[in-house]
Amino acid sequence: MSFINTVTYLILDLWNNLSSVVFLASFLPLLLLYELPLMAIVTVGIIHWYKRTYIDTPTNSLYKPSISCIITCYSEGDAVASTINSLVEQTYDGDIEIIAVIDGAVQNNHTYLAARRCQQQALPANRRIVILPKWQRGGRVSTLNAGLAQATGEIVINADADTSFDNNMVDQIVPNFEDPDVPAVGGALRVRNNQDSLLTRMQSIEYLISMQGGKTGLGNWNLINNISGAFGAFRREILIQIGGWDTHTAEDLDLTIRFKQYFKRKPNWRLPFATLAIGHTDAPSDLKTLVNQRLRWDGDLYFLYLRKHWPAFTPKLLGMKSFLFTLFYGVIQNVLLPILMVIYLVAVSITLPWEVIFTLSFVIYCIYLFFLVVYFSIVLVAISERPKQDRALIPWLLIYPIYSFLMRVLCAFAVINEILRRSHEESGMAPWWVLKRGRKF
Amino acid sequence: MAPISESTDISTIVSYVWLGSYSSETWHPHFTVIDEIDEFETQNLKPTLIVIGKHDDDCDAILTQLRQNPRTWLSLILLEEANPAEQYLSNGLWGQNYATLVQKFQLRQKAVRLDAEASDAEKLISFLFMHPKFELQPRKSPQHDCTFEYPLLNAWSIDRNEAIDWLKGIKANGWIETVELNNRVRHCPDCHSGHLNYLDMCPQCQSIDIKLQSSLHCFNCGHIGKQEKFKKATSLLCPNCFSDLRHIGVDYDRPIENQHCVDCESIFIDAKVQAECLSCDEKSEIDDLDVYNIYTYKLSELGRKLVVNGKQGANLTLETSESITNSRFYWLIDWQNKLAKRHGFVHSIMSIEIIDLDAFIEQVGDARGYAQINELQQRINDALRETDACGKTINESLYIFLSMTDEEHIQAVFNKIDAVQELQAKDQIKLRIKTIELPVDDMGDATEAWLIDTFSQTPELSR
Repeated sequence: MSFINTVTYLILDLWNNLSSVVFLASFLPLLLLYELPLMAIVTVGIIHWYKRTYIDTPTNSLYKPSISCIITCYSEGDAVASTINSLVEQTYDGDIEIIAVIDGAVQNNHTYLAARRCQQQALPANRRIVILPKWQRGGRVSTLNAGLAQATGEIVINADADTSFDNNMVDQIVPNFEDPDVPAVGGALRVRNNQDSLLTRMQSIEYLISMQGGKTGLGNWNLINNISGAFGAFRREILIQIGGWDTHTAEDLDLTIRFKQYFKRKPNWRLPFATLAIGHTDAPSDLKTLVNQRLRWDGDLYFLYLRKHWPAFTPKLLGMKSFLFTLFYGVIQNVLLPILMVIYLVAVSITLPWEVIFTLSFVIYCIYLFFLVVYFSIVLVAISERPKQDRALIPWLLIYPIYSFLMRVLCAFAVINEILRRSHEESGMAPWWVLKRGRKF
Repeated sequence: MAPISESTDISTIVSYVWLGSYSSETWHPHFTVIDEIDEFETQNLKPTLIVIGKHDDDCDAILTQLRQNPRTWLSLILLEEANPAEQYLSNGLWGQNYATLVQKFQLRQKAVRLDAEASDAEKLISFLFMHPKFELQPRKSPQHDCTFEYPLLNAWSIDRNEAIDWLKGIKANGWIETVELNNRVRHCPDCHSGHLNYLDMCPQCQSIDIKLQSSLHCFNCGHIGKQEKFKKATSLLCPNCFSDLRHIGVDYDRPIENQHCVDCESIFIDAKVQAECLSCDEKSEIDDLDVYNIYTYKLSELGRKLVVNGKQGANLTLETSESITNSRFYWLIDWQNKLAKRHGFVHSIMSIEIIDLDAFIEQVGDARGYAQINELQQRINDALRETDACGKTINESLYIFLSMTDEEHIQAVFNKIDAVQELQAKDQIKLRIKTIELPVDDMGDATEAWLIDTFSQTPELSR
């Protein structure tokens, strides 16, 4: 009982102190400095987007460019059929060419045969399926570039073989390209296996708020951080012009950065986000896969910003707006802060009694939960195209701050791992002899 | 008894006829050149070989007439220039190899014993025997109801509508066999016309006004309807429950029923198909149509034996009892076995088989070989008393039921047959002779199997 009494006392004391701005400023500097401005930018962006999409008079366009969808297939097996079929099913009136590139088609014969079966079905006149087996495994990047070499469409959409799409996806993507200053468009991803485990539910919430919510808001200000490798759309000629996909890991973030490097020279260029173009992907359902994925993602962030693209990390190329945003919300927030947070955590746990740590944690949890609920509500009301399904996630929000915290800790480890061990060189995304031939950073 | 002799050589006069414009070559034999088919009659020609020279007339018609004409139907007919009708009615193209063709033709002519005029079937097998390279091939004939015809049979005035069944009958006799299955036709069960129009129609209301249609099936409410009715600006909306259909397999799918009846609005997978006869207007279900397989035929081994031996056949037979059926013969054995058991009689069954018949025929040639078999058979027939024996040829063995004949008497019969065997000239037909004795206790129900089994386990009789 004494424990509960102590904690209750501490919480009441904190509550009392919360009224003091000074305390708030000293206790929550990270939150104020980083999270609130970002949330403000995103929220205003979402409101702009909402107005444009649902309140302004919709326009009809006759712009119907030909589309090439490059599906990067590896060991997905029969799942590739669902991806191909969901592309065949698009309600888009124009031509769609579906190019399934199977990397290592010898060892992935099952995937190859599944794709071949799709090819044999009766197709509408404006759909075409091309199967491109790469007998020798070359990794993701070589798969994407092989597909790009084969593509004939004006717009190229890349997709993972474990990602399927809503039937209005192309219809949602295409209008963005009507503006000649748009070289690429990001698409939204949802977790399709959210029922699998607690982790997939958490990721489902994460994708909803950071992908659909966050990118919608950022896209409005042309600040989109990354066009996902599982689902992005590009103007083919420009993509070829800038050299297609480059080797090393995180080819998607690499490509997004390379687009942004033109922003100073092409001030009108935009990288919009197609909020209602929905792809459904499989998220890691067990802890080990998830940890490995995050170690890769977060480590790659450091590698790309601070190693590979360090020379180009300047306002002279990115433009001031992109430079500052990337500095604060790309580099500092994702690379520096997690490490600081871990150091802070260690320091606190050594210096303070555990009752105080518990109380502090509980208060921080409550604050995070509050912002989470607010933010989730905005996404649910303004963006979600499947509100019924997303409402079912509300009870799980209670656990989400803990998940989010653990992911931040993981992020710190990933960054340290990259700094000390150059983990990007161990990517499983390509065979070693491909990685070896890439330039070292 | 005099030894069985080799058949004497009958020399035949070879005559060559050239029909149409003729230009001489040094290697040509002497030709009688004629212009009209009538001249076979007027000049009393019965040629061995006819060459149809280059001409402007319908080659098909000329060939048909030649195969029809009693003087020329069996002749070797060669064409100076290629013609589509060549494979159906002629023996190929005229060339320097004619001499071998004629020589072989003459040899075969000598071997024939069958009366080709007896019936159309015998005419056919005689023809196929005389022209061993010739295969009876069907030809498409869209202008006739039957849609396929055999030009050779047309020339012999065999109704082209009945030719398929007629050939089936001859094949059932074992005289001809199929070379390949060329085609399959379906005929109207009413008028037997092959000119059918296949109509796909609605299985519900039989209307032929049907269309392919893409339908969608909403998972939310189960509504199925035309895809067009689901379309909203850029997405799909169920017209029944107004739910958004975003993802195939999750919100909606496509029913496999992709056909639609304009008249009754039903949707279905497979249209019902009916055949409408263009000749008699009768509509039939596909399953009710008469199905015919159209084959190419050639002469069978049995047919060949028949031509060479005449109607008696190639195997050893007993003339008196050959007409009883196999099943009657088995019944007889079964019955006699039961009688023998009851009254204490002893009967015997003897099997006579020619050893390596095919090798023998190959060695001495068709004509001589079969002649020799005939002679041998005649003598075996003479050697057995009619009252003793009732025989049946089954599976190339002659089974003879010898009533009231015990082991001792069997030896006498064997000696007689053995003597006949010894009387042959230098190329001997070897016989394998075995006997079994009745009664036996466990013949079982399948007499045929018992007979074959028992004989296969019985040792050969020897002197």
